[in-house]
Amino acid sequence: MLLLDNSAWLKKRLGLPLVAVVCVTILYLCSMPAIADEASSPSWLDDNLQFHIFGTLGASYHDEKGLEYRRNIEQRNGVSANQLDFSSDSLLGGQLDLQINELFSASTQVVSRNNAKGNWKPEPITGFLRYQPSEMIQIRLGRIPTYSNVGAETRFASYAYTEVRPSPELYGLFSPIDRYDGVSIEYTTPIATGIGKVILNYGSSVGDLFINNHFDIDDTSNTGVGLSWQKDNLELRGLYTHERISNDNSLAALGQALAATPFPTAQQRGAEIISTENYTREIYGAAVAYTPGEWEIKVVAGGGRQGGSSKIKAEAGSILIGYNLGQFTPYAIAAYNRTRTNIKPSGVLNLTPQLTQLNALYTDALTASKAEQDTLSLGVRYDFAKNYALKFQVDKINAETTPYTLSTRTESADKDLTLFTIALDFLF
Amino acid sequence: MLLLLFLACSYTSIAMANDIAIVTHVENTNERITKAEAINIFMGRFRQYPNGQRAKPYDNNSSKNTFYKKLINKSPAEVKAYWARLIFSGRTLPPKSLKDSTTVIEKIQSDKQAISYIPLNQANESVKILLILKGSQ
Repeated sequence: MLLLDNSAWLKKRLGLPLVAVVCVTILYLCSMPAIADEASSPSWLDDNLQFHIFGTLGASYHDEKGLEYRRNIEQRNGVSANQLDFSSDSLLGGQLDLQINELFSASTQVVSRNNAKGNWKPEPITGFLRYQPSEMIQIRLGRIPTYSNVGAETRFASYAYTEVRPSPELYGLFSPIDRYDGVSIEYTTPIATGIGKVILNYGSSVGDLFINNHFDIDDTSNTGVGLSWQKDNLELRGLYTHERISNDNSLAALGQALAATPFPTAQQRGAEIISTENYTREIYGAAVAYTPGEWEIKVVAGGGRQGGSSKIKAEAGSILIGYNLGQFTPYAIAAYNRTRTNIKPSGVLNLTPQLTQLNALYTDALTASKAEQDTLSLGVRYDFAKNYALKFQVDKINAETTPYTLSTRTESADKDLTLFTIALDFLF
Repeated sequence: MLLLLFLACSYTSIAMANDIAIVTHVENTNERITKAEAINIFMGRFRQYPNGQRAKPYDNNSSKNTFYKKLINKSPAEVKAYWARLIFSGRTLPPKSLKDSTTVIEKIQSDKQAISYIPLNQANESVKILLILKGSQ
């Protein structure tokens, strides 16, 4: 979740230059005589070009009036009560992989889904050039995969995982933004009869969120390290990410309005907001995935803290247990998220009645990220045909406060609901 | 007695047909690999021979399901889901697929870094066997 204020960061800094660098480099490599000669032959393309399509057709239902369940905080709309909704989990994606030569390869992925703007415009999720001088070293440049997903690798190709969707309690925490422009260096080596991996990345998160309003997240500087160790059916992972957010002026107007009032408390809060346009956040986490025989066990836990006006602290975790019975895999998931801010329910500004609207705006803005949500899920995956999986999942969601579920209920009302979902995943 | 001999020969023949040989070029300097190393190579974790040479794995479509069941005890759907995780997170791509054992042997003979698998009873002197996955595995 989000470790995010209501932010509208400024323009992209790295995105376009990096994409340009990647495209020019690919064109240059393909224009080299030895490669160009080979690349012009159909058999070379057959051997070195791969195209995959993946997607999900999902339908969800609940009957809690006044609530809209969202798969994640990037979605503008959620599943409304008493309606069969096809937009929450459905998506369509494609990926192109090109092995240019022994050292260089390139990959790009585009996904169409219900996004923060409420439309289905296809978005480039990745687009990077990979340099691999040996099996131990990989360097990626461009729009690279986010390694902040400590519990899973892809959040879009649902065929890849057992459940219908990654737990929002976790994905909100570790990667509310799914696009990342930058560079990563990956070092792989045998360690203690297993395979160890260290990944360093530097870049900028790019994406959109919807928390009360739509936000473009662009002006960030992100440094991270990921660790993993894998042997047989056991994988351990860890991560630490430090992010610097600059020029977050999304609350500037509110800050100025507060500062302009004659009330010292309001002036102080207004000054705090104005002075915290630049701040940092940290995210850390660990995961264990164990798949002995027919069993699948995955445990993820983590936390984070963020400066800025809200001074957010968050912790989240989930456990998934599944058992494969041939074509059927029943599973259960428990997940939680606790995200707190320094804004207490009674800590709102004590202004005159004339300024109650400003007071309400202040409270809403600085508590929009709060979460106290638990989800228990039961489901079954049915691999009924090659390249297809059918999933049925029931989620029992208990939420005191949550940024995921949109609500028109009063502030004090809880946001509990039971969600029924059936989803068809495919992959070609 | 003849009946017992016939049954023993038949059993051996069936067992060999179920066994899978992981093979490479005859001039590849590696003599053996462990099952853990085979998992690392074919599951895209670390594609390197014990001597440090880069390994180029190829799938044999005619034996693929049997091979991965013996190697990691996973069904075809589970293997496909595993690769989907790696492909769509941009980590690595699965081994290229060859249609049958004849094609595998041709590829192995043409590339010293290539590594693949065939039923044990189809292995001959034109390839080097690095590991045998038994029927009971």
